[in-house]
Amino acid sequence: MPLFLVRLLLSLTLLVSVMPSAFAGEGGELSAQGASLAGSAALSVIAVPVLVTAGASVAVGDIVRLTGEAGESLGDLTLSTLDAGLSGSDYSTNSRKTTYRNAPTQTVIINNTVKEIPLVVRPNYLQLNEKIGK
Amino acid sequence: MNFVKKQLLLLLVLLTSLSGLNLPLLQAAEVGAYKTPVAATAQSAIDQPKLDNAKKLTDWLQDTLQKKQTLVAVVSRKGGDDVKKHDFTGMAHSGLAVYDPRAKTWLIYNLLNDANSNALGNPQSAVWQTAPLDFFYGQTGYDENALLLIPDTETQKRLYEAFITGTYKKLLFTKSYNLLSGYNTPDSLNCNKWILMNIVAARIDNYNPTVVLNTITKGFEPGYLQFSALERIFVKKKPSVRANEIARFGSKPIQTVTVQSFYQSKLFAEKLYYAGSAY
Repeated sequence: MPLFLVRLLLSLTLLVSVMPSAFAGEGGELSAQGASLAGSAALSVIAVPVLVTAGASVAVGDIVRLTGEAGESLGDLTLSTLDAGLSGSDYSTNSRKTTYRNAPTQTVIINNTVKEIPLVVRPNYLQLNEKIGK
Repeated sequence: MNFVKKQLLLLLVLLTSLSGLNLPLLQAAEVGAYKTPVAATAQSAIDQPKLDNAKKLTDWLQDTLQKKQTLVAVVSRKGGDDVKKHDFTGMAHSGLAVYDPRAKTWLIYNLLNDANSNALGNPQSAVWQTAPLDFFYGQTGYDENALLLIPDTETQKRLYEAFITGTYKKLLFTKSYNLLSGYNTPDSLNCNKWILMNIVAARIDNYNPTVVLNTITKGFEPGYLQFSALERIFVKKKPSVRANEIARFGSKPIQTVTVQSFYQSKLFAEKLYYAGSAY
């Protein structure tokens, strides 16, 4: 067998043996990103994409999406949206999860203002995947 | 000519019969990889086993963070089998879980490679806000594994304030993304490096990226990733990797921020691993 053919076969063997493990670790991050985006699209199939009133939720089964009056997404968590979230009681909790009354709270100081954050957990599953600062 | 036609026809018949034989075997193998039969997926885009898995992991995340009265924590999701060659945690992607009273859950802020930028050979990053369900649904494979790393309360509060006031955006000092970004270099970011910078910035109460990177250089032990010469060639070809940054390491191990390096650091008050049931 000619030498160049031997070299070629050897190179191909090496390539085949190396390629699958070519840093699939962090590659997992990349593929996971793709899967995440694809997952979001897939999940959208079961979440009805209709406009609802502010603060309301669209639920299909136990998965919900949150949209604003004009169908806008949640947006950034800021001081004003934090206050809105803290004052809102639009998502009732059930007995399975902790209610407002006995939810554990954390106190934070933001811009010299004390905020009590009750760590209430929603009774269903939220679907959300959006880029920040679009 | 007829002979050729006959031969082609025979070949076609052979291929058809082979594909007919192979198809059920292939399907069976795929179903066998899941925990429950997924024959129904042909009619639905939802990967039900993955969704069920994501719900379990979401429940665990929410219950744990509520019980631990946590405002902000690092959450990592499982990668593919090859991840363990470089990181004993097996985790591939991480984000900062930040409690959001509007959502009544923790939303995960995670820095990702913008896939649209890859064609230019200049990968760019963006921060995404992701619900736990979506985060875990995006994992590779079907393992019921996840990792929570909870900083001390004071660090959590500073992180929370930084997210509310937008101070955390100062650490997005570059749009350049590199899957294998040097752990202390100002060239680029990836998910874990961005998280590390946020935690260190909160601990030193200083969001100047240069100061934060200097602090990391002095006190953080990165992950050391060793690749063969051939592996380096392939790694540098990945669209999410900046080849010029990798070249600087020469033949030395690439020093980057891994989940393992988080786990082995002293940056967290609690480290919780979920494997079907938490332990």
